[in-house]
Amino acid sequence: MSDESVNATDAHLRGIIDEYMGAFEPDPAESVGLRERILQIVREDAVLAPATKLTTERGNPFRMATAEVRGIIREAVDSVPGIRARSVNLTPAGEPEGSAVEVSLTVTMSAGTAFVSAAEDVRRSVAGALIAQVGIPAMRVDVTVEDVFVDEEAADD
Amino acid sequence: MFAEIFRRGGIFAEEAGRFRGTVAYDGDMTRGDDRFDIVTLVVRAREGDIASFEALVDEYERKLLRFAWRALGDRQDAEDVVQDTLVKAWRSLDALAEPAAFGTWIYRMASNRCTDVLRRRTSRPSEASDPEDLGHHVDGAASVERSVEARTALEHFSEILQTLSSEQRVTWVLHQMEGLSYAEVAETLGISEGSVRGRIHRARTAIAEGMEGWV
Amino acid sequence: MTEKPRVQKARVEKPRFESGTSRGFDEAAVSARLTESVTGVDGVTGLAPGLRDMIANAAARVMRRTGSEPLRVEVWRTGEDLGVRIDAHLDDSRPVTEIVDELFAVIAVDLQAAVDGPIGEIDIDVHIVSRSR
Repeated sequence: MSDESVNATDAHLRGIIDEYMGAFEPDPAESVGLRERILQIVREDAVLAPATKLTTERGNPFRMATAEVRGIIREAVDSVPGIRARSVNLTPAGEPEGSAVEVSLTVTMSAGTAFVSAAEDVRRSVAGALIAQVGIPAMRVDVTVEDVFVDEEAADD
Repeated sequence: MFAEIFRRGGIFAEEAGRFRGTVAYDGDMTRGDDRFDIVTLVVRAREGDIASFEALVDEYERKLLRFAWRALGDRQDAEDVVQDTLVKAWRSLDALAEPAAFGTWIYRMASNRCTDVLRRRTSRPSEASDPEDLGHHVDGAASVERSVEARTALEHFSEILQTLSSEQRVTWVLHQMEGLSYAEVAETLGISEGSVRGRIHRARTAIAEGMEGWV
Repeated sequence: MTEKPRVQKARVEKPRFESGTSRGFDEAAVSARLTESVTGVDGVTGLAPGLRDMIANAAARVMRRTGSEPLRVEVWRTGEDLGVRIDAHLDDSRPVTEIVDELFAVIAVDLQAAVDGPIGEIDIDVHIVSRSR
């Protein structure tokens, strides 16, 4: 078959192809089960996820899912206006090791945010959350801005 | 103590733009009233943030399901492909060097799984999807028994698709139905544009010849 | 002064039994008691499967059934030493370290009460799996 006639048939086929495509339109309600199965497996995986070794003030050692500690830190970062947490890195520190943590983060920042004061707020928010939620002090909080985003809501002002 | 390394937003906009230009999968995700860019979501998910991964699932699950369904013709198989792909993605996010390429990456994984499913199927008539039941689990025996005259062009087209090789079919669906350019298909499948062109050409020829007289 | 849940080793030699069995250690009973105490601690919302449970549940997951094995605190005895492992889900009602300290205290009390004979070292592995907000 010549390329020409292939192309011509293609055009005629467009209707068939569109009809075929239309037959496969997933109903959102039907795929709820699929989404739930995926997330259930993801949640179950949490048990096997890496843990950070920490120590209570009384000297009792324990392990805590690193993702959970990062989550607490992320929430503290996100609560600062104009800042969104990206990567959270934490290292057990102090004496004994794990009685404190060192945190270094990357964030994205809304254009127009005053960085110096925002970073100060982030540091305070993270340190405060770690003590209040986990019970472990932060020895150090490094903040690195990796990207800038335009705050859609703010842009409408 | 603060370490401030300020990288210009422009560079990242450029990189993000490059990926958006090559493969039109990525955009901003919505999380409640907030929008998180794909890089932030992937980095957070890779560090165990289930909420960020949920946002990625919300964005990609339906598109992937539709693609796999079109490629395989069977809803159950398609769901299995999507589940396996997204779970694998969660477990191997560390392997993704460029978070911005998440869309391409999961489409590649889904495409490979679809190809595997198609290869495993034997070419027995009972495996062919009955066009009347498009979208449901299929017993193709009925279509074989029906007379030729009763078949519609759509049903015939569906049968023609069955005759394509696994690679041709997946490549063709990505291009013709998902709307990807040759370059985007090449990037998704990790093959050369020349290979893409070859597969599409052979697929189109087979379809055109098979549909002769039907359109 | 640190509060460590530890009992001094007794000088009396205890009778030797077959390996795997120690007099005065009913694993199931001790585990049940620890489970009740641990889940009763404020802030603990439940236990998570340990590695053993995960393997057992893998088959159920393949068939797309949710595993519903009863979860419990693992405890084992090696000689006079005891080992305890907890995989726990917490809520955010208290700081984590406060809950951990209470877990250690509660486990020490339970072990001393429930285990016959001398107790050597107690190794407690507390693993916080999640914390709901």
